[in-house]
Amino acid sequence: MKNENLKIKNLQKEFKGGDTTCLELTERLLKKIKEKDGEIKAFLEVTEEMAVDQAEKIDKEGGFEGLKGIPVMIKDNILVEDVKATAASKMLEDYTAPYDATVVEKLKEAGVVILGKGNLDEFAMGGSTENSAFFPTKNPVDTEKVPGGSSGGPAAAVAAGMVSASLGTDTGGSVRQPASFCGVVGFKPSYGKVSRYGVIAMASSLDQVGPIANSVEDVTKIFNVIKGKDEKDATSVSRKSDFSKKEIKVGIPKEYFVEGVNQKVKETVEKAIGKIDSAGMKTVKISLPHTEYALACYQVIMASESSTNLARYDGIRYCSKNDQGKSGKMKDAYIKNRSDFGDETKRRIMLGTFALSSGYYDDYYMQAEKVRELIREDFRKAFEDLDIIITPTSPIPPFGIGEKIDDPLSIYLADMFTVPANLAGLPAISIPCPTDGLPVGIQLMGERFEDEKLLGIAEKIEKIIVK
Amino acid sequence: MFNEEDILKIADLAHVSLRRGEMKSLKKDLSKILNYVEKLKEVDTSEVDFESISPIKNRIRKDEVVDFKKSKKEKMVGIEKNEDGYFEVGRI
Repeated sequence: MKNENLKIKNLQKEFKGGDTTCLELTERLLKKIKEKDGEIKAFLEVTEEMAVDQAEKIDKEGGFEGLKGIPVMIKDNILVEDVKATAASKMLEDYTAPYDATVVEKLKEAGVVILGKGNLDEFAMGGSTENSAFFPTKNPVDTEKVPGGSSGGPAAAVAAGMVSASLGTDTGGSVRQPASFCGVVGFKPSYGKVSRYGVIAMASSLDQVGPIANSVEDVTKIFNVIKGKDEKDATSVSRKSDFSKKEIKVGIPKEYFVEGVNQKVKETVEKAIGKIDSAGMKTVKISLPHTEYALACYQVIMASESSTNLARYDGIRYCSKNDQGKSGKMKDAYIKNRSDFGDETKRRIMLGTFALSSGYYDDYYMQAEKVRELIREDFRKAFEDLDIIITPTSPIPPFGIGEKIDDPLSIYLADMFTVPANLAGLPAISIPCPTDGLPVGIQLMGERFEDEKLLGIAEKIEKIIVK
Repeated sequence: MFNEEDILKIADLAHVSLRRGEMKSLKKDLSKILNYVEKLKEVDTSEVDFESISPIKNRIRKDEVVDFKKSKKEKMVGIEKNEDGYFEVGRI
């Protein structure tokens, strides 16, 4: 497998055996980034000095266990103290993070080496990383294609072997879809399992931080470090699940294999399901009847929450334009200061503002929240009798850069299989399937808070499908 | 479908301004998305009890001041204008 030598287990072996030091590895990767990232453009910033200091410190300490010495990238909407956090927006171009996000604090305590910040669609809004205010990222598998999004930088950096792992955020598939497009593993934990403190908010009832890496084992190792209750995020919990069951029952929802799903994606995922079945896991056809409405429901809730969260970029609380406008009135100053949002961000702010506005609130926002409950109910019923649900991660393979930029709705449709897990707060993971062409990911969803169980099953399935 | 008047009203509520020539594309794109989300109205939600959705309880903690690791002054680094530990913003 590609990037085998950057897997956590193998790096630890090298560190322990004295084959390489953390500093040597860090410098080797920094060199690789210089050579390769001019084309891929996964990094918004390379934190070279900080990385070298950290690597030297780690070599002095020794004791290579867990994540110690592992090179990682952090998506640029997650705060790393004293490093810029732009969320790929002009609005935050000059913003330097005054503190570490809880997930970053935990990773630093575990001894990782942060090599830099990852590119994304502005404020994590998009599915191709083309909405970055600075530059688009290319897919390392095929540089004519998008890497997916919004965590396109973090997925591309792992796929290109520039880091071992990265942290992304997933509001509607932003970890899983780019992982699928770049042929790596991406995991979105249950809502509440990982603290969102220090993560630039998009849609607060959907956002979750998740790891991207070269294997299920590696995302599990990172998840185990970043998870847990945090006093600074009131929605975080410390629940844990066990995985000891021998017989595993897998649900295959018919609504995820409908017309409109790319033929190649369908065939690849069905082939993988065939192998899973032959390996002794019981696969059953199921129905999740409200799937058809999930994307519309997501659009309304995501846009509403985003428009509220992004109200803070007004030049007073955030972004330093300080333009007073001509009239000297507060509102004119706001409007003036908010002129740097990109097209996609503006569309979502406007759609959300509309959905929450007087006279439309009941028909759109309220109705979407009710439909969301029906989607949750679909999953609750299904999991009464199942351990996991399997679907394609994305209905389409990676598309060409610039191919869909003029048709926002067509990019939204690429999220249709990933948004249900966010709406219901479920853990979900994308694992690459073997293909002879562009990468295809298979998605496994588990019951809420049963993350450890899902990851346990995912590790088994990862081995089964490559055979 | 949104008309120009709707777009202007929403932009005003959202505190955003329209760039030159942006009206046409915003009208088209937002109408297309609105048209797509209209399908939510097909769903019968009469049985959904909104009050029972996500039984969330407030989590109370002690109201104690926790200081940043670094001093306030150090944290002002990167803020263009500041004085005596306060942010300086434009006059409104």
